[in-house]
This record gives sequence, structure tokens and C-alpha cells, in this order.
Amino acid sequence: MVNFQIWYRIGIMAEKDLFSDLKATYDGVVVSAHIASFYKLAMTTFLPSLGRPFIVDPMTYAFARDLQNIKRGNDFRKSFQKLIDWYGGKVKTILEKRQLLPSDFLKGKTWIKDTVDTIVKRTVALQLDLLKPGGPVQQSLSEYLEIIKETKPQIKKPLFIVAPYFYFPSVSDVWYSINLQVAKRAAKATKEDVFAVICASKETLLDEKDVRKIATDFRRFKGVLLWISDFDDEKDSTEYLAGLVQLVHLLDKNKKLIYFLYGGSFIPLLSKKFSYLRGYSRGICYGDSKDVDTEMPTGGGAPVRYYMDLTKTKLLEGIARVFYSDNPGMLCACQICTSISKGVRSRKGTAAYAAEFFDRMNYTLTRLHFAHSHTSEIESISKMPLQDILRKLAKNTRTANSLNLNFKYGIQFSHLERWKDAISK
Amino acid sequence: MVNKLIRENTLSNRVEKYFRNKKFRTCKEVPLLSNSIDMVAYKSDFSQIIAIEVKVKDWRRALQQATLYKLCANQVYIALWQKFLHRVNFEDLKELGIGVISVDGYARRIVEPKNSRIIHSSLMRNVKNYIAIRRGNG
Repeated sequence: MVNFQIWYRIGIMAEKDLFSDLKATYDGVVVSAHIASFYKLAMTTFLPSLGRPFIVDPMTYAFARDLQNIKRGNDFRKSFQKLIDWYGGKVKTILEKRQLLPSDFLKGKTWIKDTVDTIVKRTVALQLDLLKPGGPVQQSLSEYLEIIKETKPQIKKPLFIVAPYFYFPSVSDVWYSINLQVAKRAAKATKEDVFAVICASKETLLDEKDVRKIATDFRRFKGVLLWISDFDDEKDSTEYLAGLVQLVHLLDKNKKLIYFLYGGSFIPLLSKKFSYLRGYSRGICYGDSKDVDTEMPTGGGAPVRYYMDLTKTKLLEGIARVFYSDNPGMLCACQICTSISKGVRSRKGTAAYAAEFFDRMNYTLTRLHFAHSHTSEIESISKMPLQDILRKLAKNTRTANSLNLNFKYGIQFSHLERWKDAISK
Repeated sequence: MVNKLIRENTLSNRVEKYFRNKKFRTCKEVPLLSNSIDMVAYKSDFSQIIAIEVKVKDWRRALQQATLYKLCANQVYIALWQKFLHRVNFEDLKELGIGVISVDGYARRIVEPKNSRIIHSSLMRNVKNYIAIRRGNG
């Protein structure tokens, strides 16, 4: 049985150390193309030093949405400007004026070679060239690092190439055809394995015909990456969950690998039903859900959120403090929480203990806690039969009910029941 | 007939008057982690800190906020417009140890709170420091 894989996405370069510290807790790394191009030099040493496979998310969808999402004021953010410069030519000329439109790719039934080729070839080249020593500085730096044995740069290429992609609200939308077309061309443009991206609206999941068409059209690729914009497994109703299960079921039948680009704790559970669902990417303690129209994160200012295994949710610090003060015996026993607990002087099992515990907790530690607990969670999912997992979801619901989590602390847990229903069907 | 809602600020002013009559000082909008407490009533030597969440009608929302205040205050109240008080489940509130103040033309206590047993001293200290600074600034 293949374990479900956790791939973490580097949101900002400031997370570099966190990724190094947490190497043992994940299977791969996702780097967004704008980060990759802006920090190209740093990437040549950083990515190999992790000793984990990586892929590059081309982020091309952002060029076809409101450009303000990737701007600061009137100018593109530096990292996106660098990416736009990489594309150059007609794509850059258009983006200096406006977002990409379907008419930039397709006139009537004719594909516009200039734009399509630029998007496809530059997207593929960016990923293949990322770790290639470029200029003399880069070359001598990697030679130097090899001499001093600072790093073992065996990983030179991404695990697979991600095709350029665009968001489509439905399969009848012209962006669907464009998305498929650029993915097909990317697959032809390189000998490497190419994964296509299905970047769809949530509403697509509600239309069985659309779901079938997607599964059929995307079966030609080596694998697919799924991103259902704004899909939130904690909040979305059973019909959306059922639609997603159906889509994964049909893609699984194609016997091609499936990864999610964003997802919450529902996704690893699905892997118990579908053996070709191999993993998902997300941020460390964020990025379970993402809308194509949200502004790109800049880092900083994120509140402290503590992951609670019982409900598979992240609690705001205040709520976590109240809950664990009332229930100190339920504090987590992961490696990170155990080491924090060792420094706590108050008597175990008291509210003062919980108070001191959370005084010692900070933003970075909550993320370390998340990564460690999440790894254990995935390991136990891998070992448990589906029936046991369903029983555990039911048990967690009962426990959450008996603790009156919703009323007393405002902690939601109804999604556990929805997950159980969606997976059982 | 138009059913006009009272403004939260009006309720807040009446609650403030209630505590001042009981020889408490008050401070509005006191930060607590990523939230802020609508009002803190305190003795001048900080021997007693009371946190109050003021809402016109949504008592459940008020309760969720007020629950957090138990971390930094000796006692916690929710203050609600008298008109919507019939919606409140008083038994639940009593169990949680949260007091209730009914506000109409004036404020009056209708459920007595229990003393918080989950005070996080670092958070209470932050509240006291914030108030002291505000007081110092006049």
C-alpha cells in the first residue's frame, strides 16, 4: 500500500528554515513559479538541500484573473514581474495592459500560435531550467557547495512538469478548452512526465455530465493536479463533497496519478478509496482551501492557530486556550507539544498548566505542531482499514458532541459527519 | 410600525453607567489576542476585573466572544437589549458561569456570573497593562 503523500507549498522564502527543520514530516515541496523565478539562485541550493522531490506550480491562472491580485498598487509584485519578464514577448505586452483573455489564445476555431507557444514553452522551460546552473555566479556557487559538501545536489529536476493552466467556471466555458489545449501542448513539448491541472469552480462538481467530461478529457495525461477553487471541506455541503468524490472516482478509474493542489483533512481520507490519489499539497497549517480570486499572500500578520486532531480544525489561540484550560488532559502529545510541556512548571491537568503551555506556544511552534501531528495522522490513516476510519470519524463526532464543542467554544465539527457520509457512499 | 433596533453604543453607555454606579472604572475596546473586549470594568487597584460583551440581540455570538474573556477577567457578562432577552437559554449561561445584564432604559444584572477558573495570568496582565497605559494617557 502506497502512503498518501504530503507536499508542502513554500508561501514565502522566509519559510526556508521551517522547511529544513520539518524535512522528516513531508514527502515533497511545491514552489510557486513567481517565487521560483524571483529566488532562482537561492533555489539552486535550497531545494536540493531538502532532499525531497519538488514541483513548480506555474501560477499561469493568475494572468487571466484580476491582475490586482498580483499587484501592489499599480505595479506588479516584484516576484510576478520577474515571472512576466520570463514569459516576455506578446504575453508580457498584453499583461502590461490587461489580464489575458480567451481571445488571446483562440480566434474562432484557430489557436493563436504566438501566445499558446509562449505560454507552453516558457512554462515548461521554467521548470526544467530552475536548478540548472545559469550564470557564472550560480555555477561557481554550486561547485563550491559540492566541494565543501554543504549539499548533495542530486535533485536537479522537478518530479514532473506541471502544465500551464487556467481556471474554468464550467466545461462549456472557453477557458476549459484553452486549459486542455495548453496542457496537451505542454505534454508534447517535453519528454518529461507532464501533469495537467484541473482548476475548476465548485459548481462544476454539482454537474455529473461536467464531471464525466473532465475525467474523460484528462485521461490522456500522465497525471492530474486538482484544484477546486474555494472548495472548503470543513464548510461545504455533502453535495459538493459527493461531487468531488465522484470526480476523483472517475479520474481514479483512468489509472492516472492524482494529486490535490490545495486541500484539507478530507483529502487524505479519500485516498483510502482511490488508490491513484497519491497526495496533496498545502501550506504548513494554512492553505487548505484557496479561491482563484484571492490576493496573493505576502506573509506576516497571520494569527496563531492551533491544530486540533479531534475535529481536524485549526483553533484560534483564544479558543484553544479556553478549550484546553477546561480540558487540559486533551493537550496534544506530539513531539513539539511534548517538548513545550517539559518546560511548563504548573501542575499538570490544571488551567494554569494550559495557560503556561500556550504562553510558550508561538506562531512557528503551532506550525511545527501541525506538521508533526499531521504526519502521524497520515501514517495512521495509511495503516487503518476504511471501516476503522469511518468508525473513528463517528467516534470523534460523539466526543465533540459530549464536549459540547460547538455551543461552549464555537468549534465546528459537523464536517466530520459529512465526510463520513461522503466517503461511505 | 417600524421596529427600530437600539444602537450597540447606547447599550454600552448604559452598561458603563451601571458599573460606574457600583464604583468600578471602565475601559472600552480592550485588546485580547486577536479580538477586543467590548468593555472592561475594574476596581482602581485592579483587584477585580470584569469583562463585558455587549450585543443588541445575538446572544449566541455574544457568548462565543464572552467565553474567551474568562481567560483574562475574574467575571464575565454578556449585556443584551431587554427586548431580545427571551431568546436566551439562561440555564446554559449559568452552567458556563457567564452573567447576564439586561439593558433597557437602564442596565440591571439578571444572572450572576461565577468566578473564572481559567484565568491565564499573562493575558490578565496584558489587559491590566493596556488599561494602565490608557489611564496614564488620560
